[in-house]
Amino acid sequence: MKIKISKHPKALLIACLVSLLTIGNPSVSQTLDFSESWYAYQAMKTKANSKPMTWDRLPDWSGVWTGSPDYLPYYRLDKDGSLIVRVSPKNTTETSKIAAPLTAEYQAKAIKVLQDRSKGIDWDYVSNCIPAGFPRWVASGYLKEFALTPNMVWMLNEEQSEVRRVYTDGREHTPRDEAYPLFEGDTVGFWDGDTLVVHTVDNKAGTWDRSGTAYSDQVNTIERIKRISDTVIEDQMTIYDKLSLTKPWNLTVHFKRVTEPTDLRIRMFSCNENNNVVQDATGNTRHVLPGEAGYKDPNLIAQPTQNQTR
Amino acid sequence: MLKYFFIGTGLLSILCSSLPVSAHHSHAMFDTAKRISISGTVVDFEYTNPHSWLKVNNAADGSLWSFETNSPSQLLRKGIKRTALPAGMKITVTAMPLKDGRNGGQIVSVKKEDGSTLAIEPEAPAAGYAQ
Repeated sequence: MKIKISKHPKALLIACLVSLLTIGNPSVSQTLDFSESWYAYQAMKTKANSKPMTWDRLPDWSGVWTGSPDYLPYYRLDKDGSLIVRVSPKNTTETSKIAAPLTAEYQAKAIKVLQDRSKGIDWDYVSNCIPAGFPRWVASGYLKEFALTPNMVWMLNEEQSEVRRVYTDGREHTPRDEAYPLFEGDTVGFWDGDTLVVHTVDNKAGTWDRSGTAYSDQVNTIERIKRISDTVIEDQMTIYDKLSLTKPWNLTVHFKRVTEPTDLRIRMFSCNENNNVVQDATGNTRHVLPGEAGYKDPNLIAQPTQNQTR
Repeated sequence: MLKYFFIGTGLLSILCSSLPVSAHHSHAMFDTAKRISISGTVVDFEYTNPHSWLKVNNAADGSLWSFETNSPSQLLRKGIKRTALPAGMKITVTAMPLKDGRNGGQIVSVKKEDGSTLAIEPEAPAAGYAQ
């Protein structure tokens, strides 16, 4: 029997690896519907062949961090109705038609959001104190903290005190028959040296940010997170979403350490503490002001009273 | 190659864009191209999440004005503490007004009677600023 050797040794290697993983772990291949990212993640884990993390080898990610403030929302419709962005936040010339790997359905959704906005109708679910959720977590403009232990990492967002729990103790994702959509998803990870590699599934559908571009509940991600300098933690993300993206989307996000004030602390964040934003009858965002029906007075909101308005 | 650079940068911008720093809700209700000034006395400075609010009694007609601003941690990073604007202090607020004409807006800056100013948002809207 003749054996045909592939002209592409890398492709052959990947195919073999996938086959081995599939054979070696049939329960995974039969039950998970995010195979592309899961196998890529597993390949990274196999390659890293890392020892279990220990307290003395944990990197120092202490401090308070924030997303890069350099990025402005500059996502809009061109005259012909197509999506358009500026190339750089510091470049005010709109030079690049967006070539997002959005599926046609999700491009249409994004355009609809911008068309509504041009008519003065604008609403973001976060305004109603719904958590940003992940992946939007990384784009949230509020503070971040990272708590590292050998078996678990907590990634904390000031906004709505949202917590991403990363299990690094070798466990698998939640069994499929117990899984359900979560704002932050279900995350497992491992350490490749001082790089935290994490895989996230089981997210609720949401939007990437205020631009309104959406992702589906099929979104799943691989992240390689590392402190690359005294002031920067880098998150190299690959995002998979068979419903909203035509191909995996690679991007890099930087969290920057807050250096002033030096003792800034993240506090518990209740979005309902003083939120008088509502969606009006037209679908637009509206403030309820003191004296108007429905106004919630922050000084009375936690008091034993039936009437929180004044 | 250049094409892929544009693709990557464009998408990165979508994910990372979140302005102003006070990113809890759309700013569609504010007229970001306009500025108004209201002089009066501080009724209450609500140092709260997701946004802080400054309630001001308008000296011109006694009406109550409500101005939204950053969250406490965002204000602290600008050096503005809860004690910065005590009740009764005479101030002038410069703000982006509500589009519908009600007594409210988003604070750009607050000038105190001693002449000092708390600068919170840019005096002029950013070019291409999307709400």
